Amino acid sequence: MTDQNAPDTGGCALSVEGVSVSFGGRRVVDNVALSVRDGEVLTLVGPSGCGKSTLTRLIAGLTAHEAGRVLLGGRDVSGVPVEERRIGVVFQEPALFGHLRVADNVGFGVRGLSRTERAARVAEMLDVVGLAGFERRHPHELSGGEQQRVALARTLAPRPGVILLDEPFANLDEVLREGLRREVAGILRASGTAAVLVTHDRSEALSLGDTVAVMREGRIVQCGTPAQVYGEPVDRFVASFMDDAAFVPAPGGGHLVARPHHIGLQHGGADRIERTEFLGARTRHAVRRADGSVVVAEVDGPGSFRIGDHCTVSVDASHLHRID
Amino acid sequence: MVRATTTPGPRRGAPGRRAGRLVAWVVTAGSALLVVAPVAVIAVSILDPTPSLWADLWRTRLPGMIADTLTLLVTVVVGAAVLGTSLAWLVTAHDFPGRRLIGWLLVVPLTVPGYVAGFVWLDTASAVIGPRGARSIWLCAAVLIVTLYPYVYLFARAAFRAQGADLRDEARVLGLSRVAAFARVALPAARPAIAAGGALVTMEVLTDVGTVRLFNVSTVADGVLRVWFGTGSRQAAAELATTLVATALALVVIERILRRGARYSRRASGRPMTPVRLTGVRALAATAGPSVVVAVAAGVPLVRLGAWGVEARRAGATATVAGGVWHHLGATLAVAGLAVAVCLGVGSGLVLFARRHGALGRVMVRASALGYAMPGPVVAVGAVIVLAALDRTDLVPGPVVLVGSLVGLVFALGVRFLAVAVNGIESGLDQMPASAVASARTLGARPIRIAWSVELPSVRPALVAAAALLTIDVVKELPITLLLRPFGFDTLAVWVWQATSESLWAQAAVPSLAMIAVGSAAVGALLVALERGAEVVS
Amino acid sequence: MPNNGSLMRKVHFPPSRLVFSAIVALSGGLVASCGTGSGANPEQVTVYTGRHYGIEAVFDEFTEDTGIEVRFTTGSDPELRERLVAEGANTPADVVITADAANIELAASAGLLAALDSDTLRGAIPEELRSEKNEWFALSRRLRVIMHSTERVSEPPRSYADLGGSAWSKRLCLRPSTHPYTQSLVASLILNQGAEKAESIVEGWVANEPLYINSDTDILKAISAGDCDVAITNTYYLARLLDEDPATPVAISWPEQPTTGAHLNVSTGAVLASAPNPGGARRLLEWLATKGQKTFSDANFEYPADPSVAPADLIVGFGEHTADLAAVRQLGRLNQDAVALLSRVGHE
Repeated sequence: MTDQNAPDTGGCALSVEGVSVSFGGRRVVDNVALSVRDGEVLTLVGPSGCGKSTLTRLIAGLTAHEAGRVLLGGRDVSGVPVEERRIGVVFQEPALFGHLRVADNVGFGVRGLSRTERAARVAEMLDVVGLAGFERRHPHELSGGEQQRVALARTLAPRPGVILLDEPFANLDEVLREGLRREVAGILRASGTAAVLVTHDRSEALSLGDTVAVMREGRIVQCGTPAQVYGEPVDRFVASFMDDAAFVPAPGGGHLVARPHHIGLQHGGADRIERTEFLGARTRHAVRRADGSVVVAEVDGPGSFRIGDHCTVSVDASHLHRID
Repeated sequence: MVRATTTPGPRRGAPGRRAGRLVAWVVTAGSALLVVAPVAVIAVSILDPTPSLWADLWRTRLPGMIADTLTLLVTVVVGAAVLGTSLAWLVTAHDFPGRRLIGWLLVVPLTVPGYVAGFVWLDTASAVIGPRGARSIWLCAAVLIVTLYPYVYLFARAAFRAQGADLRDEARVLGLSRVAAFARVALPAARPAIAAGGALVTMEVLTDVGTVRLFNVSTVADGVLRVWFGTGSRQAAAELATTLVATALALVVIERILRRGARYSRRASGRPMTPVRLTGVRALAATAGPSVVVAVAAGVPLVRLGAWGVEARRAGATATVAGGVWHHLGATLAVAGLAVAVCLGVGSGLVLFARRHGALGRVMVRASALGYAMPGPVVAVGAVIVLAALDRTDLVPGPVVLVGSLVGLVFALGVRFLAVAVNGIESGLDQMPASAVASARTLGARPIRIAWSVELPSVRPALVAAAALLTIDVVKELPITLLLRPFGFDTLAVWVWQATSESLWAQAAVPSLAMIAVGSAAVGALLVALERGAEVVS
Repeated sequence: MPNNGSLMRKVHFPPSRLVFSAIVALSGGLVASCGTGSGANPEQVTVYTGRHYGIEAVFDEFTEDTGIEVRFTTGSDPELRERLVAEGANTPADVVITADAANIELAASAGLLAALDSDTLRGAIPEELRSEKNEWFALSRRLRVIMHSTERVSEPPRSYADLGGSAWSKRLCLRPSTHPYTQSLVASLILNQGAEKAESIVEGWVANEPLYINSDTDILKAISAGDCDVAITNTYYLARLLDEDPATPVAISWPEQPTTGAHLNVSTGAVLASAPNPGGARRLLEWLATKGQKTFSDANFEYPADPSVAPADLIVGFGEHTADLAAVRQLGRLNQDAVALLSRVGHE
């Protein structure tokens, strides 16, 4: 547990201790440590190229690491080949075996069961992902979302100790993504399996994770509950990566992080509305301030501001989180 | 993206599996060595050159050989590329009467052996323009073009299909005419595939000795045999053959580089291209054009052979001492079946092993393909040397003799054609998402199970396609079969040789037709495999 | 394929090893079934033959006569020689038969052949037509002569040198120098005329821009068709054509008649030094030189090696002639010089 804030309440499913990986002399994963409890969903979020995919591949055993160790259920698996780690991985593309039927795909990793037990397990998994009765179908007959659900069932079927999901929704369209995201969250919690979900989408990270780890340039810069990572970012990078943020100089040094909902907006003044983004229940406005800086403010409903309107921003600094 | 298969991770396996891995290494390295050996025994000669011979050659035939080789190579490769590509574009992007049938028929000329097309056209052309005019490098080139263009056609057709509709539609939206869309978008995008087909044509031209000799074209490959069997100097011939392999190797490397680019440019929409329906005169021309090509490349030989076959039948010369057409057909199918099985088996083993073992594995795979760059007779003698050497060792039990056994023959054919299997399987695997293998590993599958239940089944169409091309190649093959066949084991090609070496053209008709029939069946299998999405092949 | 998965789980063989075992298993069966073992079977003789036209009828007759089976493989002389060199002591072959003298001489100098002390062979085959050490024996005579069109040539050339005369410019057909027959002819010219003269003779041919055709039969057909008027081919090809069509308008002009005689090449037989069945090999050779002489020669309208055996009626009609017996043994020795000469003067 690197995260001093999260209480250790359960068995430790996965723990990564000081691992590093370099490609061509460049450190892609740099002295990373994290841990996931049984039943916990950890989301690993960061910009593209921050090393989060490499970290998952490393945990899975698909990439070798140079330093540190990987423990699964307390056992050091650093030297254990992938196929013996009992880690489930769902990739960005479903990567189903095209020549096998859905049932054979799902049953692929199930070992040591009789034929009927196996069929039962497959049926159970398909039921869990909402595809009961799809056993005889071929992967190419399925939609993208269905394929990804089969991939999830396939991963869950052998009861892995930990499941890694590497941007599993990235190739799906928006509507499908929303639905599947919720479903997967439910499935993961129901299965009680510890999971690491990799994403570059901050709302995905916040909505799915019990714990959110933010990664930047090969390092984990913050790990905590979604509320902590959103509301109490450790630095400017985390603050702006998780959502729009304005940085207000704090009395006595450092800055205060102002989220859009912390920022009030009044008609008239030297600032101007530059851009608006209607979100339904709320509306966000990008405001060009007189000093040239831009802050994002949020108002209820459609609001009364139009692009080009003069306005004034105000911040209630009393409850704001302070960073260095 | 890091390829899953090349990053096995740190390992500390059980002793049993370590032993298994060792066996895999030894067996793979062993079979690669065995396959390279016949080429190597020829190639090592370059270490001890015979300068006097080279000086002589330079003064006499070599400049002519090089000139003839280059002339032939450039003419045939350019001709086959233009013909193959334009036919592929016509068939993929247009709709006209008979399109499907023509699409299939256009591959059939591949089944007509060059030496058969050669003597048919030599005879036919002699009747028209006289024997002096017929024996020209240009007619030879023309014969090679019409028998080899299907390689380019197959590759280009697959590439155009894979491009799908989006690429062309986008070009048209950007304001390009149909012709310009082809020239500036579709063609450049298919270039690596065309080059890959061209590389095959190059190998065939560089190693051909059957066709060129009919037309008195003196290429370097012909020169190898000339020097070898004319002066009895294996050393000198080997040196010449090695230069040929070096040339071919350089071309292989270029092709690899081109194909590397192709892997990324291939990704395209799933939406197939809607062919443009041609009408009126244009439809007529679209049907007539390819029909003429098929008529020239396959029709004329078939008609000629048919007539000769009737003549032979009348003369009662439709069998040899070994037996009738069924005997020879049986021998041909047996050797083709075995050679295909061995090439696919060893090829799969090598390729899958290489994918798990990085650079050294890849070197072994590349080296195992060298036999494809050597003229058949050179491979034949190289194989005899290796097999005879094995026969002398204790590795082969006393009463067994490899030279002149079916095993020896299949081995030599494997040496010559393994590249066809290897390339087909590799390009098939390249199409598989890397995460499929990674998924299987995370699901607890060992490399062997992954090979059997994930990789090989996924490349099944590629395997079928490779099997078809191998069948066509083995059925046509002559010099290796001739030198290494068991007693009384006369294939159709041997029968053709026995007849043609005595200029009994009519007697060569029946076996030639049978060879074309076998090849056409293989072409059918090939096209079905391609429909199912095999990456082209070889 | 997927079903194999369960099988594979129990047997942890890498696929390459499986393939290998399969090959080994398969090979065992195949080798055995093909019976290529070199164990000597006294009732069987194994022959590598570069002369294949009509050969099977001859072997059949031998088997009928002696009860010894003949197992044979055909191929080109040089390739069969390479195979024999590679196989060395392990060769299954007992007898090698070639279509020309040079290749057998090369095999002899490679130490592949056994000397044969046989009164029968010595009695049947003239001294000039066997090697000095009795390693090989001619089995038939093949004469390479001047052919001409009976329709367009009234005064045919009388010597090989004559073919270089300007009268034959673009009227001459020749076989390319890749063929042993051409090489042996030039070797005999070097022997009989000296290297310099031989070179100028071949230069003369080349200067006439001959039409090169890699088949004697097709050369003769070219004469019939009017594509050339004179040529050099072996006599038996004309015999075959005349046998089919007696009206073929081509005739022989015997060259070098008062002098050295027409170029003579021979098809030969020899027993291999490593023959598994030397006794049977010897019997075959002796039979071919005696009882089988007529069949062996007539099968292809060749002249018998044994002068006391009568040639086929058809070729008796070709007339009396002298053949250059003296050169036969030297053809192998001079082969390389001939090849070099042909290359130098640009003979195709």
